[in-house]
Amino acid sequence: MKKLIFLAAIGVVALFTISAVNNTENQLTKDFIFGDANIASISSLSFGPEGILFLGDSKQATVFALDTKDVVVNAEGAKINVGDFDAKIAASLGTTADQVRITDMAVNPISKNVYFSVNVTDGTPVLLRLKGEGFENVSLKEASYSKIALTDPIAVDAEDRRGRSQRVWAIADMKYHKGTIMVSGLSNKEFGSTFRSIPFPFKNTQDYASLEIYHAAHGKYETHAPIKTFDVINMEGKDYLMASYTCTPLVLFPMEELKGGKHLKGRTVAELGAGNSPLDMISFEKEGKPFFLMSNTNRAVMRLDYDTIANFKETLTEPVTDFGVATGVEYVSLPMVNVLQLDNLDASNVVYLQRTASGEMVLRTRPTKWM
Amino acid sequence: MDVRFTHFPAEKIRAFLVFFCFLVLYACFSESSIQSIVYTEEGKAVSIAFNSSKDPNSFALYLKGEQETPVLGAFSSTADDMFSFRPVIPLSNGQTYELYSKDIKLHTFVIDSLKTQSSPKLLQIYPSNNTLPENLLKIYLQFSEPMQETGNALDFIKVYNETAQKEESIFLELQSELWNKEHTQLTLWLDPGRIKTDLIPNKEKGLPIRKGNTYTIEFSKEWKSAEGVGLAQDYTKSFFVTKADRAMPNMESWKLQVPKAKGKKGLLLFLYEPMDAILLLEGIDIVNEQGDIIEGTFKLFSQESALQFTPAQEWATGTYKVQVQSKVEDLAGNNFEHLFDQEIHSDNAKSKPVVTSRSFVIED
Repeated sequence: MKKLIFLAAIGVVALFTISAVNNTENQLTKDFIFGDANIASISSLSFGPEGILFLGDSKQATVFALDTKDVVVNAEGAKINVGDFDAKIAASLGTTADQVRITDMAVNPISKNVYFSVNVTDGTPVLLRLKGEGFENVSLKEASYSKIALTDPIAVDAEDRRGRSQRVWAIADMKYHKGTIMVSGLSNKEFGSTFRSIPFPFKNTQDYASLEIYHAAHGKYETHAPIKTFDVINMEGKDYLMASYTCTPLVLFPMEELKGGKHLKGRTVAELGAGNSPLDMISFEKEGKPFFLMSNTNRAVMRLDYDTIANFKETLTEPVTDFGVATGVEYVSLPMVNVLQLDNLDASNVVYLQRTASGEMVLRTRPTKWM
Repeated sequence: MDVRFTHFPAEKIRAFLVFFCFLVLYACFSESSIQSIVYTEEGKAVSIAFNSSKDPNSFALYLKGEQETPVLGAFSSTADDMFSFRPVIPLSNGQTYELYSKDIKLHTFVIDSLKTQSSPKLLQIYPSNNTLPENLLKIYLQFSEPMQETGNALDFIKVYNETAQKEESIFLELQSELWNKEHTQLTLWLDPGRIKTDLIPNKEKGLPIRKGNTYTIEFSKEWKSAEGVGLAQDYTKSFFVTKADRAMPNMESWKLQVPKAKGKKGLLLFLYEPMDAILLLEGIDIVNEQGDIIEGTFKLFSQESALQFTPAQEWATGTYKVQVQSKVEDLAGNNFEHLFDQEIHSDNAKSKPVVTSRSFVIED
């Protein structure tokens, strides 16, 4: 009898679990619609939970959530080493490498499949999934999706009345983190930046934050500098936004305070030198210790240790006096240059797209122990 | 030869586009041939139709010379031994393709839309003035056609310092270039980090353009439209650099030339300083006493240092206001609220823009 009750109890628990799982699924995709998503451009990709891929459409200033249904769990990603990568992508689209542009890359954390957003010369956006050394097209025309328009934080009523063009907020970077999609944008008109966090599933709400940074070199504060790339890092039990600006300061903002249009002063932890622009950022673990990687336009991939960042309690407030000298937290320059895209493949590997010294574009994986 | 035009109900190809369908006579093999290539009105090759007796699962289309990576798309059977292939993106004009059944090449064909594409023109470069301040913040380029969305715009732009006799790089490189939605207008920033005093880039490299120097910017005709046609010609813009503009624009110094009522004569605004053309046209309005916007058109002249407003309806007597949003900038990015190169504290990103205004009276 006891056994029977025990089994029945297990059954009930299992039922609840299943319905809970179903509910969660429904919760995330219940507002999704099926059809042509009418995506005009893809400038940024970021995976959320359950195979949902977020696509940043700069042309329409819209974020799309796409249900890839790519949810078969793989603990490890396949080793990748593909040469002439741009030519291969182009060939799969029936054209040549000069006619395509790879705008972003993202790894599905569940299946470990690698996705690429590609623009062809007339602007048609394409989403591709790597399959061996070839590609699969992920349809944007027959897709299960939802979307949210990035509204302008500055009122544009008067402009709308006269039918004048809306601001274009080119999406500089986009990341999903704990139920929120975060977007940094650049204006095509004013020198300004926006940073917003949008709860997912999409409702009609989005939050703005006005972020202030201190330029160590400048000796001044400013709010308008555009963020080029960012990541969320967890240090000492707290989540921080690690933002990298066009003029290369690396600035930390506590995530819990990034809401309600609040004005925040960031803690500048490093000035990484001039003439360089950050491209991509990821976090990874090596021998149980968290690290942070950043690829750059004109410098090698930089590795920063979380502990060093956490222990760097002060903020850079003294103007930098030596030209081109990076200050603040220490970093290690890895022997990797011209890394265009970077993402975590699995717990112990990263995948990166690189233009080698010979001009060839390669897609490769690399164990984090060598990073 | 039997010509059939395949019908694709799921697509937006309307029947009226069919006249663009073009017959390609490549009778390669007796048992199969390419029947037609379907072009859209814009000249895009969106599908091919062919007949073949081969196994439908054996087909693959390749770019000529390519053996490993097939073109992505869908083959479907349309009738007995008739098939169609719809690529994910239209096949490229001028390219040669090869249709295979396993290892056997069935056809070779070329895409030629026969549609003549016009050469794009660089219509306008703002600022249009040939004397510019050394803290100039941005340049706008306006094209007649949507431009290519691959490659980097800066690959087609060369800046030559005529005074120092050398090529220089003055623009900020951005991964996501700042085009308008139509891809006909590009914003180029002169590196703001070099303009802001004492920032590292400013200390290391100095201002992007310097007082007393003459520069020529060249725009290469290699720059192509979205349809793959190069600019009609090389374009250049030469300018001389004068001292930095470190003053905020001031509406009080504007001169207004006010027309009489009962006519559509233009209101003239002399700003005495060239302004950011795009922001000015967006951020300026004429309003009546009730605050209603007066319909009409603005036209820039005198190198964006003057404006004419022509009303859609005749002027009525009364008091009006020229209203300018504070975000409107001069050429150095100084707006009606603050200087570009200045400590900035913004309390709330959501705050509504401040509006600056000047009143005028229309009389009989």
